[in-house]
Parts: sequence; structure tokens; C-alpha cells
Amino acid sequence: MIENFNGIFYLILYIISIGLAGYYSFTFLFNKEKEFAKYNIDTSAAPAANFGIFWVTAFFLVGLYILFTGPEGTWPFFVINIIVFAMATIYQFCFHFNIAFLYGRDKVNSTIEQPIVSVVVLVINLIIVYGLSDKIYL
Amino acid sequence: MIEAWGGTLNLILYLISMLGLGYYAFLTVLSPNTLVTRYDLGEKSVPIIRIVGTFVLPILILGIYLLFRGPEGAWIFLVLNFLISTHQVILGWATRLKVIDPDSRQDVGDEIVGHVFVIIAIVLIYRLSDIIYS
Repeated sequence: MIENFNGIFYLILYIISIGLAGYYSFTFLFNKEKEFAKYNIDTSAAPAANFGIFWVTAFFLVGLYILFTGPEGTWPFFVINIIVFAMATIYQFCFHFNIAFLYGRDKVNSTIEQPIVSVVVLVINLIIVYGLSDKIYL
Repeated sequence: MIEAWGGTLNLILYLISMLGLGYYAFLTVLSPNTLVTRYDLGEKSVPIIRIVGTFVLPILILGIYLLFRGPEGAWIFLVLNFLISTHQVILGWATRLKVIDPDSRQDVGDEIVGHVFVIIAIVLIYRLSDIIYS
């Protein structure tokens, strides 16, 4: 497994990335009340959250598969992750600091956690793609 | 382009899939209020819908890239689409059977689209297996 990921460093980064997807997947699937309370969101948003979290769950499941089979030829997975978190970073920063996407902003809380997580995962994925470029583009 | 996709039928199925994805990308990113009204969600749902959009739009972007490049070696993209559509169908049935969110509103059109996406994904993975796994 370590050899598949070009060493322990990239393997750990990959596990962190997949672990975060798993954490948010589990939290929003089974403990969404707590997350909703954190952002002052009521239960009317539950269907939207459920729809959204299935995308994250799909990423988590495919990521788990790659963890055990190796990343050869899986560039679309990593490229999609980079675009997702690049967009999420822009959105979360604009939303948190009241720059844009302000519809409904006054009705919900925003924490610095989301922009920071987006940036961290974006950087992790950029490092992974750089480090594994000899394998994922095969 | 047709040759890269192993025939016209595969290309048409893929185009249908991408058009559907484009429609949902438009709704989630540019028109979340449409979804709020359709599913009777609160205004507080808009930020969550936009976050969903940050997942939908990148898959559409990569899908358009693959449309012109061809699907060679891109099995993980099609499998990811299959899993997402399958989850959407499971969510639709679980809601309809009142297993989760029994009070939420259903939209038959979106549920049909979900089933169509699953069938298209299965057909494409099967028909393109010699290309996408190469």
C-alpha cells in the first residue's frame, strides 16, 4: 500500500483527505442535528443536506477503494477533488466574510472551520496530485 | 468523437447524462431558489444547496472534457457517476417509503431522472468496459 502511494508521506495525506470525507459523510448522515445547530440551520434543510452528502459518500467509497487498490489511472478522481475544493474554497471564503453568495446569509451562522477545511483539503489534493503524477495519469 | 466513444449510442447516452448534470449544475449553483420552492425547503437551505453545486459543477466540467477527449481509462469517472445516481435513487425511495425525512416533499420528475441516470451509467460502463478500463 505504501509503495502504491509513492511513500508514507503521500499515503498519510491521502488517508487524511479520505478521512475528512468519511467524517463529514458520517456526521451529516447520522448526526446532522448537531451540525445544523452549529450553523443555525433548521430541519427544512435536511433533504438538501441528504442529497449533498450522498455526493460526499460516493467520493468516500471510491476513495476507500483506491486506498486498497492503488491510484494507477485514477486521475479523474483527483482532478474532480481539486476542482471541488477550489470552488468550495472560493464559495466558503466569500460566504463567511460576506463578500458574495449572500442570499440567506443573515439567517445562518458561519464558522471559520469550513473555509479552513476547504483550503487544507485543496492543498492536500494538490500535493497528492503532484506526488502521484507518475501513477495517476497512467 | 463517435469512434472514441465506441459508437453513436454510447455518445448519445453520455450526452444525455451530461445534459442532466448540466441542468442540476445550473439549479444548484445559479438558481437554488428553484430547488427551495420545488422541495418546500427553507431559505436556510440555500448555502447547503450551493455547496452541493461545488460537487456537481466539477463533475460536469470533467465530463465535458472527457466528451471531447474520449473515455479511455476514465472508469473511475463513470463509476463515480453511477454511485452518485444510485445514492440519489436510494434517497428518493427512502424518502418515499418514509424511512428518512418523512415530512419532506417529493418530486417525481427528479426521481425518474435519477433512475434514468443509473440505467445510463450501467449501460455505459458495460458497453465501454474495453475502453474505460484500458
